[in-house]
Amino acid sequence: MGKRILVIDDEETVLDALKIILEEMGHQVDTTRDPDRGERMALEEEYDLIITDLRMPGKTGDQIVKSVKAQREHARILVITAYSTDAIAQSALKAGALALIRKPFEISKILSFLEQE
Amino acid sequence: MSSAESRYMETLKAKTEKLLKEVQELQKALGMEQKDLPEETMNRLGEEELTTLEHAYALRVDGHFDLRISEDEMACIGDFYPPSPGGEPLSLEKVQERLQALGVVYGVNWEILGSALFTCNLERQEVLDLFIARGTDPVPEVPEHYQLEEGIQNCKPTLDSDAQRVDFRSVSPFIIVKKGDRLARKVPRRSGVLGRTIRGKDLPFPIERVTFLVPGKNTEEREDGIYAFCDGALKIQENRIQVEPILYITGNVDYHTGNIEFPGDLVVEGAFLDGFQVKVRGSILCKGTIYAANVFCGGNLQVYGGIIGKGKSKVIAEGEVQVKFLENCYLESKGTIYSEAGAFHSVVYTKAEFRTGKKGLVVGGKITAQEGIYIANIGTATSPKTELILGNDFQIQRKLEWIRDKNIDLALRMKEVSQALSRDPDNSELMQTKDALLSHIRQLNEVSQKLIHFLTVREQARLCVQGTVVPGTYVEICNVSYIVPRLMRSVSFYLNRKMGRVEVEPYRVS
Repeated sequence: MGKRILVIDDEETVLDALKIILEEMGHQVDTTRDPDRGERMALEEEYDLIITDLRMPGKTGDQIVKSVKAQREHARILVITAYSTDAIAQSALKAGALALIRKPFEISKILSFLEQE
Repeated sequence: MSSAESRYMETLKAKTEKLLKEVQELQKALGMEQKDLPEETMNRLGEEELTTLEHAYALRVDGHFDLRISEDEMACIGDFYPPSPGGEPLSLEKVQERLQALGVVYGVNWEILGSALFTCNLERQEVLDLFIARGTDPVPEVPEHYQLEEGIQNCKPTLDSDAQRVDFRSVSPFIIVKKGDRLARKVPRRSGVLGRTIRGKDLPFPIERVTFLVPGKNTEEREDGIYAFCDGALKIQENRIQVEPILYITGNVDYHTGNIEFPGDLVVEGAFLDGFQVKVRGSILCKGTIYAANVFCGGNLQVYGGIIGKGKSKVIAEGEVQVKFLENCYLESKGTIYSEAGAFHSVVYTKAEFRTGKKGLVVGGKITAQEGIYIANIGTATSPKTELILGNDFQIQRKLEWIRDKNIDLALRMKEVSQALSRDPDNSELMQTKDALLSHIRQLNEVSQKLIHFLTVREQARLCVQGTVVPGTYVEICNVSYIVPRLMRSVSFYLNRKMGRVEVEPYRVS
């Protein structure tokens, strides 16, 4: 059964690829390159999975995780990062992100978390 | 004009005048010119020369020849001279008579002889050093024996002298054979044939000297030859042909051995040096160190020293791996990896467990172990961070990553096509391309959705650290991430599936 997924990433290539791949699998995918807008969408809409980049202009992924988790405790968030030992990555995990995904994205992890629910 | 030249000219002038004077005096002494010769003398002019010519014609030479026989009486060689005009031509009968006189009774080539006589008589040309008769060499007797297969003989290393560059690493002195390969074929006995001299004398035949190979260890004698009874290295010792299932190298894997590809087990007393490649279907025991070499091992790999990869070494083993330490290398195994002193800046993948000794240390790099990781210490205060990944099948993960890369390419291509279609919505070709791209994405997605069920195989996989683990260490169990926030001692990391997070508890031996 299709899930609702939100992808927040300033890199258009990642957004396009994830949207096409996941939609083809039957999921409903919303994407945005604007982290503030992404944060608002995550708070206003119900998503089964939120995928956010860690480093974006104006806002970091861990800030989004903190903000969303504060209002939606059960939100399931994955964070895309180039370095798994990044301090912000650590902060995102501490704030409640489920897992780190290496750039551009690890489809195995995304599918794995989509399967779990 | 110089004075010397002037003197020379005067002398010359004087000599010339003297010579002219002498000639004038001589003409006066003769007292007549040619027209004044008496008639009788005039009539006899030329007669003498004609007589000389007639005489020369009377001295004609007949065609003749000279025959000689070689010392071993295996050849008769002739020189043939043409007759002069009016001379007797050469005749075959005379040559026959001469051959008979010389005792030549065998091997005369009458055709060549006839042609030589023709050339001499009609073309008036000499024919020299012509073999007109030849004896027959005896054919040696060959006893029944085994002869190495040509393919095996050709296995011996040869270098192309014209090659601009030769990679001597690719030259190996070993002859590798597979079970059932024919190593030597049986050469049946061949009778000898007598030879004959041109004087008709029989020559006895010799017996050919051959190497009498005999079947040895791990070989099988069949009707038509000797066959390998197992995979291994061919060895010929004192004419005994045998197959060694274990390849022993007493020194290093280096330019003496070249790259090695062997179907059995390999034992190396020394080290694997930089740049060499070793591919072995069985197990490997290396009593030295593996440096920046590429190694594929179909069985277990045991290295008494370490693997010092220098960032270039790639070692893949199908079985278990035991090493002293790992440094700057890539190691992949389907079995448990035990590295006594640990791993430094190395990338390790195993489908089983990764373990170190009691004082082992893992610093930097990435350790991926499906079944669990058991390490004494992880990281140092100033070292790069270490990544430890557990629970997933790394081979499935790789396939999924490959699908992802392909899907990204397809997706980007589809975006381009969609944009083109928005400008030209009725373009059927573009529509077909879009459908094809979607179809490929769909197919790849189907595969990845199947594979995902096999990705996580060990949710119970644990990371156990007997000593310390430094902050910043990245731990991932079945895709769930965790970064060690502070220095921890004697702890176990495990996945709390219910809570969906990695948790820590005091170390316990499982």
